[in-house]
Amino acid sequence: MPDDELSLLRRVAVGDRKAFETLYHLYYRRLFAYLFKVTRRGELVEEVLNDVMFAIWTSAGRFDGRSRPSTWIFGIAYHKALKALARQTVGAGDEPEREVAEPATSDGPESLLTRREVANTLGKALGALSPEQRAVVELTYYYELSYGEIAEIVGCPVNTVKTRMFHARRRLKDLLPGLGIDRHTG
Amino acid sequence: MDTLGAREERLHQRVVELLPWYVNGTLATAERQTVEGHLAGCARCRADLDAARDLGRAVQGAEAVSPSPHPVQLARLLARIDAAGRAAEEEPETASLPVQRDEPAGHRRAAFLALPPRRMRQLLIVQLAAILLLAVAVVWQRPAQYVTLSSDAPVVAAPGRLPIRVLFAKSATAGRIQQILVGIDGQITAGPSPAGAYVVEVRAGADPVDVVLAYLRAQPEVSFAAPVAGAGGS
Repeated sequence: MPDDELSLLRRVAVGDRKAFETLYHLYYRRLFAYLFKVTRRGELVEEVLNDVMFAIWTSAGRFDGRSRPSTWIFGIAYHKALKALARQTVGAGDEPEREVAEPATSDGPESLLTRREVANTLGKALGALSPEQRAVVELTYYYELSYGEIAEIVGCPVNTVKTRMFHARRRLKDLLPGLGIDRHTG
Repeated sequence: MDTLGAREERLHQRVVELLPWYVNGTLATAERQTVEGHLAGCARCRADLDAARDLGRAVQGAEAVSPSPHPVQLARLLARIDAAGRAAEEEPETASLPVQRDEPAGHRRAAFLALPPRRMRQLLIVQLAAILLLAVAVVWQRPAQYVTLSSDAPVVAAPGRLPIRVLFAKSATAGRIQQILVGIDGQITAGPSPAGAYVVEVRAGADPVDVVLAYLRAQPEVSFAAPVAGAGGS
């Protein structure tokens, strides 16, 4: 309940450890799933989550209550995730953008794909997006947030959110022929 | 100047961009009506709407990876908070406080001593003196044990491991010691001395050493924790 989360955050802001632990347990699984979706790097998630909760502890006093607590917390998580990915990329010099999804079975309708194959193909395709695009896709479709809330979380204008989504859809259309995403009729 | 076609095209573009939020049902009424009005006459947008729905279903159907929290993770986080709190309260002049000679002079000890209220600090110094006495007692009772921690037979920490000297309280049960070790991902590699001193090795770089020490010192069952002299660390 948002009210409960709000009062928890207020208590955390004045150094209430019990409230912090409650918030931690309340958010752990949600944050884990979200960070995994944004980063798609399981090995990073635990560390980033720790950073997020630490930031909540140190800056809860700056939460002004204008947005939902979850929006504020997901915003912190988004920025921590991007930072962690940037550190990794600088360190490893890898090129996740070039990863291309395996083509889906070409000779049949989408029903040929099992659920798992869809998930696999989708995972690869999402992995080929930039983390910024991926976040918008997940926040829209998985978390069912409005573009206004997403703009708050990622800290950019709503037009940027719409543009990122537009480019993500175009990219996914190329990567996911088997999902019916390019099913055009006219 | 603005042709009907150009206006239509702009509306089309606007609707195309809004489709994902039409699908997830978060558009405001006016925008939703705009989208629906346009969809009725635009086959391209209806195809895009199908695609957006397919994508939505696929993303919704993907499994979320969301394990339950492990107590060790929370313990690490709380230790980090403790360490940060201590660092924030650190006063510059405490850096010049005399340090025990077998410790690397530096911020660790200063941070340990640094608590601003004068009485708190005096109290801490008294406690520290008691702990040092205890440490001296360890040396006194088992010189050979202590020597292995310093020069003659240096502690052979595995590469990438950081040895920490830990004195557990008498009240510490084996179960609690086990929990504490799990909390720092540490292993006992030497000890105990008659007074209960162990060498515990942690992975160097897994957690900052200050965090590990803060965690250890926060445990009621830990009477003393310090890096083994000359063993490196950060």
